[in-house]
Parts: sequence; C-alpha cells; structure tokens
Amino acid sequence: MNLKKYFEVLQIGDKILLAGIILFSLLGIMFPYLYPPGALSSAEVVISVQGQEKARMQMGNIPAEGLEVEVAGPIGIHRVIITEEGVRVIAPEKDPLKICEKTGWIKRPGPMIICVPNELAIWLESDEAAELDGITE
Amino acid sequence: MERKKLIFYIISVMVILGLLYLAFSQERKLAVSEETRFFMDTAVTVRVFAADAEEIIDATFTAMKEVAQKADRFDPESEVSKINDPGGEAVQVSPEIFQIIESSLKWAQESQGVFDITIGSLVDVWGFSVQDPVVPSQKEIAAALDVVDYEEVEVCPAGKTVKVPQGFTLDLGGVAKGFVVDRGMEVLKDLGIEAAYINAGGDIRVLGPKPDGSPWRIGIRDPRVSENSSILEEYIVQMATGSIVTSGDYERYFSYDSQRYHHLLDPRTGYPASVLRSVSVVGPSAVEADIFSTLIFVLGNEAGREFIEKVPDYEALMVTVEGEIVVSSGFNNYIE
Repeated sequence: MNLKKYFEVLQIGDKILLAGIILFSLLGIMFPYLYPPGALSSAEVVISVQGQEKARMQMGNIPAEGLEVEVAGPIGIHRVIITEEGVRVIAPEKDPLKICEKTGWIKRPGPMIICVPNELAIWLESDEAAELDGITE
Repeated sequence: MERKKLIFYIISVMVILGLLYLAFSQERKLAVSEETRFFMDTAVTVRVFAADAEEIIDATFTAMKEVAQKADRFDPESEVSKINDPGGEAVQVSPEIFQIIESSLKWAQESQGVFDITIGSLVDVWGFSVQDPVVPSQKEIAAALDVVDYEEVEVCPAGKTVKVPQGFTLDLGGVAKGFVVDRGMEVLKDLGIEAAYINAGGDIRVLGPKPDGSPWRIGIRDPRVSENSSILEEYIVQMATGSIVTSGDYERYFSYDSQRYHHLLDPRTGYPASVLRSVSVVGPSAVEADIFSTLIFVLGNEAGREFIEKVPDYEALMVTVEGEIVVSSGFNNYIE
C-alpha cells in the first residue's frame, strides 16, 4: 500500500482531525522558538524585600504607560519603575550611594538591582533557561 | 476496519513522538534551588542544581556569614576590629582571617604596595559611605598615607597572630568578598553539590559544568553605558568551573565640584586611580581574582596587563576611561 492509498482510506473528517492535531503539536513545539528565552514579555519581574518575595508580575501584562511600585524601608521609599522595556529603581534622597539607581534599567533575566540599605532586590525571571547565568559588575 | 487501524497507528506514532519530545524537554529542565541574602554591604546569591536544597544553602550562608563577620572592620566584635584596636597588640585570629591577611600581604609585596590592606585610614578620610562626602584636603590625605604600609604588618604563622602599629587600620574590603565566596563554594562541595553558582555583589564563582553539560555563561557589565545595566556583548565569559570578579568605578562614587571620585584608591597617591573604568579577572579562585581586579585597576591597563601575564591561570579584561577594551593574552579562551 503506497502513501496515496493510505490517504484514500481516510475520510475528510479524519484528514481534518489529523491536520488539526499535527498543527496543534507543531505550535506547541514552536512556542519556545517564537518566544525565545529572554523575550521580555514571557519574563516576570520579581520584587524581594528582606529576602521575602513582595511582588511578582508578568512583563507581558505591564500596561503601556508603565507601572510604579513604592517600597518603603529604613532609609525611605524606593520607587520601582516597570515598563514593557524593563525595570529600574529611583533611590530616596537619604540613600548615600544610590547604587541601585546607578544600576539603571535591567532588560533581561540575569542582572539584579540591589538596594542594600532597604534590603531590596529586583530581577527579571523566566521559566526558560536564562541567556546568562549571571553578571559580574 | 483498515481505516480505523490506520488512524490508530497514526495517532499512536504521534503520541509516542510527543512523549519522547516531552521527556527530552524535561531532562533539560533541572531542579534549581536559589536564595539571596544581604550581608557584606551587598546581596549574595547561592544557586545550586539540586531539589530541596534549603538546608544546604542555609549551611553555606552560615559559613559565609561567619567569615564575613570576622573580616568586617566596622563590627566592633570582629577579629579585624581587634587587630585594629589602638593598643597595637598582637591578636590571635582564626585560620580563615590569617589566610586572608597572609594572601593579601603576599600580593602587596608582589605589587610593591599597589594592593595594600592597611588602606583603612585612607578609605575613612574619603568617606564614600557618608551622606554628603567631600574631597579630603591634601593634608588629610598625607596624614592618612602615613599609616598605610603593608610592610608594617607583623604576622606569625605558628601562633596565627597579626599585629599592626598604633594608628594603622586594616581594611579587607578588597579581598574579603572573594574569600567568602570561595568559602561558600568549599561548603557546597563538601556537601556533595556538583553544580553551583555564588555571586556576592559581582564576585562570582561557579562549580560545574551544569548538569546538562553546558558551561556557565557570565556577562560583564559595560562601564561605558551609564544608567543601563548593559553588558559587553562580545565578551560573554563561558566556564565550566572557576571565578570571575570585576572592580569598577561606576557604583561607589560621588561627584564634587563637577568631578567624579570613586572608591578604588591608589595607596601610592591617596587618590582614586584614574586610568581604567573597570577590570574583570577570570581564574580558579575568587579571592585571588578579587585581589587582582583591584590591583590591576590601580596599576592601569599597561602595567596591569604586564602583571596578569606573569600570573598563571588568571586572565583579565580592562576597560579604559577612553572606552578601549584591553584583554590579556589568554582571555579570549573564555569567550564563546
């Protein structure tokens, strides 16, 4: 029985069903390639204070106008600015070195924004293998 | 009947292929445990490839914090504070602190004081951690430099004692983080971990390769881009095991009279070193990579490159204030 004969055996409903299954499977396999590791929309922004996770947001759900989260601590309020492009922190006036503000925007999983006086850490996390394991700075 | 059989065969083949794909995908997703804690004035992350590794991570942090506490000169109870006590007496210290000091003195000697752990008084007059730092006067800097000289430190290996003259202040800031990272990795190895990553404010040590056989991939912060944590895309370091440490002028600094002053001070002049923006050193141990990154930053790219070429197993990448990237002869072996 050649390939043509096989297809002749199948009815139109069978063919539609099989085509649907094949298409659905291919989409599932292709998904990681369509949204590769590091694609920001698939990542989550994590805000941790004193070792406790305080917030976790899907970057794909961040509104176009961005989002601001205030984190209070012993030296004042750190403003976490989240946009579709990435995340950064504005340090309070009392922060002597403002290292976290100097870190600037992080736009991929790997780097971390650290505010030592308020024990605040912010990073982007992805289920997919990160493009980088870490950043030395 | 033939039609039904055919559909059954087709679906069976698809299900088997799907299951095989899932099995291979899952194999690549390995159990990872990770935790970040704050000490040594920075965030320290421990990541291990093992499921339910909370106890292992906790033991690692405990050991790391213990050494960090002993080396913290701002903690009045620390071993280093006891050495710095104005009494000028010999102080018996733990093997770890003795090892840090001995190793630091070795490289101080090799570099003829370019790396010097008696720099504490000079760091204090610059006051990088205070609210409104100002540039100290030349008189203040000269007075601080009078009490900076590694040759004045007396160590006794037999009794594990350390003595500094009155007025001298040991500061292990340029070496302790690296040592603490090495200590953490020792603990992880002792506990049977085969793949792990420790990052203490940019002092990174990895143990591996990762369980899927791939090397660790570490980016280097691009110091030429301010307000953005960009990396040097052409210089992503890949290593199965080892350390990478960076010293840069872009985090701990203040501006005064439109001039920028950073914390990496030259013990010969008393002022911030001015040739480089950052130095990244790759090699087996984090403590030595830590020492070398500070040392090369002060030396500058020409003398720094000359220095690192003589040290086996270590390589360096330097970014000058003009933005030029200079690498040692073997650095590119780490680049993908």
